[in-house]
Amino acid sequence: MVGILLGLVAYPLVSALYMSLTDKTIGSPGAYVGLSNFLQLAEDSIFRQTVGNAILYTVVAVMIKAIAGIGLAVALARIGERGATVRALILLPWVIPISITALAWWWMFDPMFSVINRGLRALGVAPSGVPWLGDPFWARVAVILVNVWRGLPFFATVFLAGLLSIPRELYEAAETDGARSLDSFVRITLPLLRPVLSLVVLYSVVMTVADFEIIYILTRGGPLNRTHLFATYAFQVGLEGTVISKGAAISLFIFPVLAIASYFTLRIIRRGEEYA
Amino acid sequence: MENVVKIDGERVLTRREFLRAAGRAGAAAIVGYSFLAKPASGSPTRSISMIHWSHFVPAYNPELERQVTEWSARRGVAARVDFVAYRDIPAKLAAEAESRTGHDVVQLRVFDAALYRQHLVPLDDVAQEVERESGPWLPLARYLGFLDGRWYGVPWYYWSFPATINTEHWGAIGMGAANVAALDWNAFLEAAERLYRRGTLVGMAISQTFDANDALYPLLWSFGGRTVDEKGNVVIDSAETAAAVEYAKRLFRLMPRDVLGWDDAANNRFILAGVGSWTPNAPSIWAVAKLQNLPIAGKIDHVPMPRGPKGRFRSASTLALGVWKFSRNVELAKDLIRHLLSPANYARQVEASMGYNQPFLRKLGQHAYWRNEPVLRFYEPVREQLAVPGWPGPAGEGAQLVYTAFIVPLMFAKAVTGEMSTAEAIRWAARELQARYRR
Repeated sequence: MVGILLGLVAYPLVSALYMSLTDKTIGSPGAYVGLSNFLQLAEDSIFRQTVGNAILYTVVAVMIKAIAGIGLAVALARIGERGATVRALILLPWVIPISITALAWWWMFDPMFSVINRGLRALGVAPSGVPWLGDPFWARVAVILVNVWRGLPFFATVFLAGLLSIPRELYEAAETDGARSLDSFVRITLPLLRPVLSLVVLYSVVMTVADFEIIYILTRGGPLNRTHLFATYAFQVGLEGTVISKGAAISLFIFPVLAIASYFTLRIIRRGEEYA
Repeated sequence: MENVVKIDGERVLTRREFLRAAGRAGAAAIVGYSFLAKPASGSPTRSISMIHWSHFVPAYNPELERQVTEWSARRGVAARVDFVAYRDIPAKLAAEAESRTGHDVVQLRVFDAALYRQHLVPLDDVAQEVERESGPWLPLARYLGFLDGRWYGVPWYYWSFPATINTEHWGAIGMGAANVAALDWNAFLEAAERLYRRGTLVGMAISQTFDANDALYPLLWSFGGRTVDEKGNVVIDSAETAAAVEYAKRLFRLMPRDVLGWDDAANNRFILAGVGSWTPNAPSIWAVAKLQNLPIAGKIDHVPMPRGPKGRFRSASTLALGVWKFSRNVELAKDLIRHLLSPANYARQVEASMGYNQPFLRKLGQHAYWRNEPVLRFYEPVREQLAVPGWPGPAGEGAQLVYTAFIVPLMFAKAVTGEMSTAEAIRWAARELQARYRR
């Protein structure tokens, strides 16, 4: 087991770290260049743009998924046993491979044939349509929308499990004391859901910041590099451009983000355990 | 009576077979597939593998399968062709070069021969042999395949980017294809404005897609702008580049704003949907329309890109064949390359690709197909100056990085959207070019 873990986790990580310190291009051994790749990235305007994109994409998408996920979980909890089919259907976006559903979204965002634009026109909301993938702002909206659509079922399902594990007696006691629904939600549901919330947010931050397929299929990082993330830019530089050492350096920037996310989330969990 | 597709008078496929093959290959273009050929008798002791993109003209793949099968039977070896989506080729090549395992024969995109030369077997003997038979090589072939005095890739075919037009829309403003073919950029702008008023727009990608490189480099070149000189010195910051960018700003107002987010298929749909009247593209739009019997096929024609103050240019995407050093079948691989480049087989490839594949060897360009197909009269032979993005600089890493990072399309996009002034956008591009060429 240790061998498998070392092979699957440690080797790629150490290999990427080593490569990032060389000037290796694909197929050549490369020479040690220290932090040269990282210093070059600091001057690279596309990379700086990518960092900003990654922060915006991750923060906005995870926040929407968390808020909407709680709302959806509460709604599903209210439906109760009757909602089994609905709960199963809601999971579909999460279980179907994103490479397939992203293609469907790509078609729905098509400038000429967008079914979304057709609907908006029919409603008189946007007579000239929305330039989903052609405008930097709307392209960001589009990729975040697809990420939320994809990740929301996971949030909702886990939150629902968390909600159902909260003892009903707590709500009944609160009701007896005259608490309103909102009070119960803020003072009972949210605090008891916090460990689950933190774990799901951590998981989602990890998955969202390292996203590749949605961007690659919908925008390839454009327009004007406004939707590039670390993985897509690393792919462009490392594999399409063949400078794999620089590609490795770009991909390594994901790790500090993950480390910070892990630290804060674990701290929240520990605090939750203390209260529990 | 069943229509029959003929090559040089010989029956090859019924129309039904042709369309079935086309449909199969159309789906294959997205996901790719493998084809295995085994000789009819006995079990082969040797096998050879080849990687090739899933062609944009769907009828081409079955013909390549047929030629490889024919060679496999003649040599008594098994042969496999993996048809891979074009987008996936870079990752496949990178993985094979790095792991030193994979296909024997690989397709090399524009600068791959230069980038992977230390992993490729020099193919001087093959390149010289096919040149004796069908040459001479075009200058572009030497630029891409002949490096440090050796041939690391045998140039196979290229496809180039004239403009695809909807003749009906141009006819509505009183212009035939011959008139459009004669336009310079200024006259084109006036015509584009008239088309705009009719709602039948012109469009070219100004986005992060390869078609954008192939549309915007010729515009830059025709105004006299260059990214780098022959030695790789960055020379983009020039009055000529500024003139090209200023022109693009005026033209952008007459195009759909979506061009900023177009992918390589968007301009195909733009024309196929009957909306667009002009877009730079290889003849795959026409080929697909014809294969699918779409009424618009009869309205499509191809014309050269407009002429600029410094000439008329055409961009090309190229494909060469290489053999990895780790291959255990180098001589067989060379033999397969010779087979694919034989005049008879090449002629069939041209037919199957519906003229899309253009030859690097002059004699192969004398095929009657291009003369007999009126919509390809401006496509082959190429009368404009033919070049690849990165020209006239050295073939290699800098050019590849600039090409894949879409620096030139981004420069235009930053200026036409007003995110930067023309001068700022050019200075930005110069910095990005310097960072990529100085490595």
